Amino acid sequence: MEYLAKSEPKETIQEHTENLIKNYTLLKTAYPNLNVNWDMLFKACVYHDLGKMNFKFQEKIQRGKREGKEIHHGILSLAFLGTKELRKQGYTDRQIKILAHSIAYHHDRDLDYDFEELAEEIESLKTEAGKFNYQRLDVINVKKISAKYFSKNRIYMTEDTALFFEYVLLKGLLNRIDYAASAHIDVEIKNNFLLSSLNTMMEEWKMSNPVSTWNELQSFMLKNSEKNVVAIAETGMGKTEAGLLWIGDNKGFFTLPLKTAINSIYSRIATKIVAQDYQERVGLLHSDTYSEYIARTQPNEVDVDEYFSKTKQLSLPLTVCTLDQIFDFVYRYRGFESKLATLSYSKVVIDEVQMYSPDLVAYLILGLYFITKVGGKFAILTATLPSLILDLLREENIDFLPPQTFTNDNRVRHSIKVIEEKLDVNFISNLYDNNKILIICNTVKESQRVYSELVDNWHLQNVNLFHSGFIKKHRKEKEEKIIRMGDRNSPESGIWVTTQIVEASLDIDFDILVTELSDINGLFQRLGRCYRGRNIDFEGYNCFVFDGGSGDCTGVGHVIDKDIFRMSKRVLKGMEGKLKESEKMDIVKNLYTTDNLRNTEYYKMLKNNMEYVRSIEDYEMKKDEMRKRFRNINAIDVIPKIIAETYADEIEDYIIRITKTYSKEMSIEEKRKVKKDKVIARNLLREFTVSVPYHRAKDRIVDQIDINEFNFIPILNCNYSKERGVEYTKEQEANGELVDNFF
Amino acid sequence: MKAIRVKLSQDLVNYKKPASFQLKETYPLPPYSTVIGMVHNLCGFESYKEMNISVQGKHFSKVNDLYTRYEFKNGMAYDSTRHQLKVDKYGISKGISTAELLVDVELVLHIIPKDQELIEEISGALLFPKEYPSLGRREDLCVINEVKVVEVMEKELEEDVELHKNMAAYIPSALIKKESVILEGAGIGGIVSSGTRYKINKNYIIKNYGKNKCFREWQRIDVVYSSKIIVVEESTVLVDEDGNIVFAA
Repeated sequence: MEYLAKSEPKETIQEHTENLIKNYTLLKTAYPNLNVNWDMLFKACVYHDLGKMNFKFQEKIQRGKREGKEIHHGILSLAFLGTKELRKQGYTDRQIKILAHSIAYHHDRDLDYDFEELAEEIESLKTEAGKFNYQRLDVINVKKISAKYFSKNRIYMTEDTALFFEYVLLKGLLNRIDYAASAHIDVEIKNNFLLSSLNTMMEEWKMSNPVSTWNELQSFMLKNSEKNVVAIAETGMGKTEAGLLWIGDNKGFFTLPLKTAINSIYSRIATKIVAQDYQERVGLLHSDTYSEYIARTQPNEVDVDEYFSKTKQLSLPLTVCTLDQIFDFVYRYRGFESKLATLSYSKVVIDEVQMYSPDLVAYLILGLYFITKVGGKFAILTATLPSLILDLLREENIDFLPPQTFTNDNRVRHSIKVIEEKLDVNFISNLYDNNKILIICNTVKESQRVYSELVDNWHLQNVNLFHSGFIKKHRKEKEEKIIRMGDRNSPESGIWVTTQIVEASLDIDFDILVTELSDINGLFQRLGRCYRGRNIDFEGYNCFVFDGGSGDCTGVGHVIDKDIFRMSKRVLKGMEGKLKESEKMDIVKNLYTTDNLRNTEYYKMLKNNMEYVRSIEDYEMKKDEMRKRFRNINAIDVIPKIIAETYADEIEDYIIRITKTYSKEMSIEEKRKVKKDKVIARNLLREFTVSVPYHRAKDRIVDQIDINEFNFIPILNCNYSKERGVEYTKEQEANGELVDNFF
Repeated sequence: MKAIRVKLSQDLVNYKKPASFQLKETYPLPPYSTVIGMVHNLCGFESYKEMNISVQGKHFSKVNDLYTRYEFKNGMAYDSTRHQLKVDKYGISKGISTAELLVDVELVLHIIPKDQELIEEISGALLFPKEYPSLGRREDLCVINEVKVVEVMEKELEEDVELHKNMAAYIPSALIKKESVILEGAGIGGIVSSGTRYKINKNYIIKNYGKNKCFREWQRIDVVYSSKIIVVEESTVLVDEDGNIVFAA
């Protein structure tokens, strides 16, 4: 008799299992040294879906009939395990327990059956088992598994750490193999190209410049590719290449803080370094991966869905991603095992650590603790490194080589002047002389104020404003525009007033930077947007820092930690003239020490968050619950009222496309097309939204656009213009009444 | 080794937790000392006869009910303006309080006297009680449904044995540590669930603290109370001749 494991397309249990075994072999060939018991993993693959032969499941899948309460097949599969036989083969009780738990929880469902129901179901399984033939099973015995091995309980880290990690690896890899088999993709594609790609690139460089060679940083990374390393290197030392050299021919993850930065590094690796077959080799993973892939590929060039699912399942050799895409496993939510298991044989590069907020640093430290525990490796690559991070790593007993610093001290890019005043617009207007000026304010409101003064009082041309309060459509335009002007070779000139959204990773190079002080780290990030790739070749200053004088700068106490701001201000006081990169690194190192920060809000938040995450019990959260906590979102996406009115027709059209339903008659091809179109329409609709802080939006929501029963986008009563972005007035507050089912 | 197995039922009953005052709380099953007390009372034993007890059972629900509470305060003078009983010059406050009551209790007890000679005497006293038997408070009568002398022996289990639906028991912690007994997890949510731990009174000696001040010193047994009990295959446990597991302590 035929027992199905999958419908659409139909697949028998045997066929599906064979697919798993194929992927098992792929994994074993690619990573033979993986720290897992291969024999157990094989058994897990063979037995994991046998429970699907139960009558109720078969009725459902073959005839679409639901036959009352069904016990999940993972649990029923355990009845086939034949523990006595396993014991004879030399399995210990612990090993059988791990095997049983991996199979039982391979889909993580609530187990809501009782003893009698299970006994009854197992009894009826015996009939089915008699009709089931599979050459990989000699004898099929059906018997309820002893509670010794499985009894609706879990394996907890606090109870038995060794058992826990063994389980995580086995279960995680079973998941990986199972998902890959279901999606009909390869579980792993071996990395056997990266070193040769890098060498080819070097050869090409040598052709144009015969003395080219890997620099000090890059050689260091290459030499220590088997170790956990921390390297501090100034901008422009080829950190990306260094990271890739360290990864070598291994599975690697490259994490960065910002999506824009990820997109650009991904492009570089995909097109410049790897080049061939990049869809088999490099992936991009953040919340907008799918739309990014659609935007990047020509229609019919590659199968975006397949590329996407390979990326999502972490099958690609190299993945460029945000921290939250892979480090969310620290919550040990249900189903986290596959991520941690993958990281156990991966190498993780963490770039720009100084950019992370305290909660993300907490995740980072805990994540590295787990990764190193299971055998994964990490490299921290950064422009500046707060000593605090090193202390935290040591506190967790994480092993790494002593940090190395790499600078090129012949280069001086910045000459700064600290002005002990609040940001002065008159001052800016005097600097403008057909050059490129970048002004960075701490808050959106301040940037709007500065913009207004420049335009209204000084009647300057070529003034632009860029902050987070623009709808995505305008934001993208502005980003492109600032990058175009920020190109060193661009002849354009003008003034850009911005907030810290340009702080990191935007590849722009302005002539003059005028900024409010946020904190030292932020300031040095900001300096990186000015004279990014050139040495200062004149006397005088190219960076002006306003430290607020006797008061604080805007945003201090809200977006900027008050204590850290004041400490930074003290350090900077009276600073004038050229600033070498090594000096910057030293300032950061000496300021952000555990001793200095111990009493700051920042440190408390960091520590509290670590404590909080640790206090969560293994498997306590479901994945979606974890996502909510992880992102800690206190902003919502809204459409400004005026935009909703102006683009009413377009929005209407997108809603229709998003809500289009699939019909039974559609072929798989057509369904895919509809799905893709939905994603596109959703993205286009999102172009009209802007993310605003929850407390701002609270009293100003006047209406909403319904997408479907569960999803809607609120409409915000505010002033909005393409020039100035979102602005709030007092009067609008009374009009709105927030629909209170937001949280 | 022989044991007396007693099956009995009660309708509304309180097995008082020693430290509960405002609300007279109840244990979910009678503690060992309560059972031992009943046996000794019915048999008319004047001193403690060593015995091991296994307590299993279930109840349907729990309610709170009022009862009359007499408060004996040391040396309290009678006050005619208060709701008090007068005893010489002392006053006893009379009032109401609340007691937790288990509803429709059914119990399976195994009584294993160390001195096996006592088997006949104890089973006789239970079969033909000299007064109405009560378990819990004095007024908590019990209906004895079965008294049977059974053989109890240590046995290696071939298969898992699960206690009947909703049957709970006091399991001596030592058995759980040996992993003979597994408490089934909740299955829903990821939270560990491992029963309720109690230290249950069993028997006492009277200890003289000098100056004729004597207090009871209790032997307490560390147990886990749970209703999801599985005794696993290949473990060696006490079983009676009808295959019931005996958690004796």
